[in-house]
Amino acid sequence: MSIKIDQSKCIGCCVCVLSCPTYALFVPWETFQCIVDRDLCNQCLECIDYCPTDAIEEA
Amino acid sequence: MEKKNCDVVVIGSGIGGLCAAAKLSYAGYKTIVLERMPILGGRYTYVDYKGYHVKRGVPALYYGQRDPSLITLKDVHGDVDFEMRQIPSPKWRIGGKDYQLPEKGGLWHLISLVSRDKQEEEKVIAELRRVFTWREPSDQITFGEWLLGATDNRTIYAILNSWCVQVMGANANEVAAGESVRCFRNFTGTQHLIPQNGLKTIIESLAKVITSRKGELLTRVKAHKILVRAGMAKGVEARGPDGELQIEAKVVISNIGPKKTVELSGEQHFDRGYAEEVKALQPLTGLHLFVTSNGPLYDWPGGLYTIETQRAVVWIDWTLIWPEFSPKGKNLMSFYLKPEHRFGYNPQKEYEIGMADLVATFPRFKEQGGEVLQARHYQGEWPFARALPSSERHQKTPVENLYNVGDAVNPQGWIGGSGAAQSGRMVAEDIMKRNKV
Repeated sequence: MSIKIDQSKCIGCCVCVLSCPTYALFVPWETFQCIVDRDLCNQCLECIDYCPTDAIEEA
Repeated sequence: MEKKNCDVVVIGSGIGGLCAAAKLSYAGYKTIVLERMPILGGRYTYVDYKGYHVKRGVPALYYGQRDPSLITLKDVHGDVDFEMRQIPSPKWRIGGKDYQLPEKGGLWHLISLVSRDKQEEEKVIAELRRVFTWREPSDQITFGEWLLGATDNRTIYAILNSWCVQVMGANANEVAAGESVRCFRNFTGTQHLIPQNGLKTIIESLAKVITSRKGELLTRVKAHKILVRAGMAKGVEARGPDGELQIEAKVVISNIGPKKTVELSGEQHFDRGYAEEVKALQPLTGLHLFVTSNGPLYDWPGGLYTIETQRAVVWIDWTLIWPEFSPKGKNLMSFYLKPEHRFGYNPQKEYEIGMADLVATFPRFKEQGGEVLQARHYQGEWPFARALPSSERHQKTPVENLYNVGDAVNPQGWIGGSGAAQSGRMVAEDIMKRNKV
């Protein structure tokens, strides 16, 4: 179980970043698109419910 | 499919939706609030992140004790027994010097500081006084255009533009002149207050009222259809952790923006004029940067307004107001980067300009261990505001018993989250007048 981020939907709002209990999500300014650090992600999938644009899915 | 019945169903738990729901459940209407996210509040709450307590959108009650969310809490006998701290009035940096303005007449003082001579000062102040106290200018022109007609002094323009960005989140050349003046008039002289746990305190207090009055707050439940029959709203279909949910209701309140309201109902239920008005709504966009440092970069809790910077004009260190919002020894400052144009800007370039503004304004940033905690891009479904301030704001939709609340339908003269709260109050009052329990 893991997450997949659809970059065409991500707007860089950081709502998921703020919701992540392990700080596995990050929005770099070079792209303003969210990336996930798979070593930190504990697969709680909370971010899926937080994303305002449905850009995150279970992979 | 699970079925529920109620008087009012509210889609979205932003401040507009919760103010309406609190008032209605207090008055005896069976109310159900649907929130797609795991937490309540939308862009009107605070969350914990890496030891900092940060705003998700709105930072403060901008109208002090007369803020509509606080008035709502008092109306419904909610808990208002929490500490609030005031953001004092800011200092302005002009020509390298920081000026503390008097509590009253601060704007006139600023204009006198930068006017070329007494004659210019008196002319500009007279023109501004006239639109503030006699009649606001037309909404057919922007506030920037009006200002250019009143003065050719670029510094005065820059001051009023900074004021525009602070109050409305938009540049003077983007907002209607009349509505800008109405917003300024309503905003001037108000206290800005931050409760002890940020605006999360307000959200929790409103939620408590709703559940204690037998209202329901359902999180992780996403509405996907607004039911409309014969031009009347009849309820909502939603999906939650336990599957499909159908809620029949006498009234539907949408707090997810007019565009989604139309999309979820089906465009065929709205006349073409309304559909076009909704399509024309443009969200207010911009970047918001949060930076941390060892100790404050600036020591005045009211923050600093700058006019010689390229983008950032308002800098506030939240730790100076609530030290509890940051880890010990660390300070958190944020600033908003308003692009020159609403669309077509390059966010990377805006970020670089913003960072240049930061270093120019606070040269000791790096020395003090300064770091960017977060750079957010407010746009689309998570905008700075769902619409620009304008004179045309309708909470009612062409579908009977279907209302919008939130920052796309702020009543005239109200900005941001406080305007959204006011829209929720107004809708609740209209519902109570039209539908007796």
